[in-house]
Amino acid sequence: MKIDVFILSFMICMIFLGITIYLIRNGKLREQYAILWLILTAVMMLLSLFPSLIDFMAKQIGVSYAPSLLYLLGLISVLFILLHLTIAVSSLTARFIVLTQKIGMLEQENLALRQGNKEISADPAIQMIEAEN
Amino acid sequence: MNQKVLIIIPAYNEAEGIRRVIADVRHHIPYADILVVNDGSSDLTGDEAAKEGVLVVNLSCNLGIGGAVQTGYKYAQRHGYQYAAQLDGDGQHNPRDFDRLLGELQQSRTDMVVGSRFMEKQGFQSTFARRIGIDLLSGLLTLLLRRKVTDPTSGYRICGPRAIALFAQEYPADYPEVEALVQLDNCGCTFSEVPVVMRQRLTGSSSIRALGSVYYMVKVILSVLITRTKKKEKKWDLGYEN
Repeated sequence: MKIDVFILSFMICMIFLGITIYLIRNGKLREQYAILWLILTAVMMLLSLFPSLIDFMAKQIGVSYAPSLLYLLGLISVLFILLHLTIAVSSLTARFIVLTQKIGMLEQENLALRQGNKEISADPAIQMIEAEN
Repeated sequence: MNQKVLIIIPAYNEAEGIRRVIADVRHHIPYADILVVNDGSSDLTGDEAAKEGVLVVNLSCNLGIGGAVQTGYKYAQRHGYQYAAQLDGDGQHNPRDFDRLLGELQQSRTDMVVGSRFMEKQGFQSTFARRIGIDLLSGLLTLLLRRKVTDPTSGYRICGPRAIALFAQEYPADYPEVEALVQLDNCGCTFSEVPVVMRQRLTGSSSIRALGSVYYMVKVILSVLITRTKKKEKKWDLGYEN
């Protein structure tokens, strides 16, 4: 059996799908981010199984050289995934700032409380009360 | 003292000069609490400040000037300060001017008072290249806010309760000064300017270096324009005012 390029790309998609699912299962990739990759894999699979879809779509929107439509689709998908990633990074940065500020303030308050306690127990009047109890 | 004032000093790797700055601030503004926000310094800035017996918040990572200053405003809100002022940790801002800033804030009933080095054109006037940038920004702000703004990049500011609450909630992360003015105006808050004399920095270097100045201008202009489009019709208000 001759392996043609469509079978090959379908196999690549399968491997990619396998890796994605493996990463999700191991907790190395959050589903939130994996969904985009899964959709992309599904579309790629569909196109490698039915390559005539690309020709059909190219004819519909008047693209004379069908494979260039494939490049366009690929580029758009990658751009969307990149945008999604930078949004994710921005949201992480915002949360990280809030957390760092909160930890800093809590540490300061914690220290102040501990020092306050030390001062109180150093106060002779309170030491007497504590001794009586 | 019926008025609680917090001085926020953001500091990043200022171990050499920080004690001098604190002593200077304490000498001129004895009635205020001083909070040093150590912005993840790699030197002993936090320890040095703590030796002076002031409040110190140590941030475990470097957040940049915006994140550090906002920590101060959050602290002020959390601990019920009526006024919070920010003052650079490098000695550029003279604490001697502080009383006039506070006086103006109380008298004019605005939400924030900015110390401007260009109103009376005294003291250190920044370098030539930097002046062009500042002039451009003040022109842009004068246009956008429909009022005269002479020194939008000044980080010498004092805020009243409404501005504290606003900044505690939302404050730009890097190069925050100019954008914060637009933010304030967006929310229906007001600010005024008071002439101050700035000194050349004692230690450290500006956070805006030569290569970064292009990025600075692009970032600030972009964020000012975008922030302006967020202007709300409704006036932003504290529910518990007065």
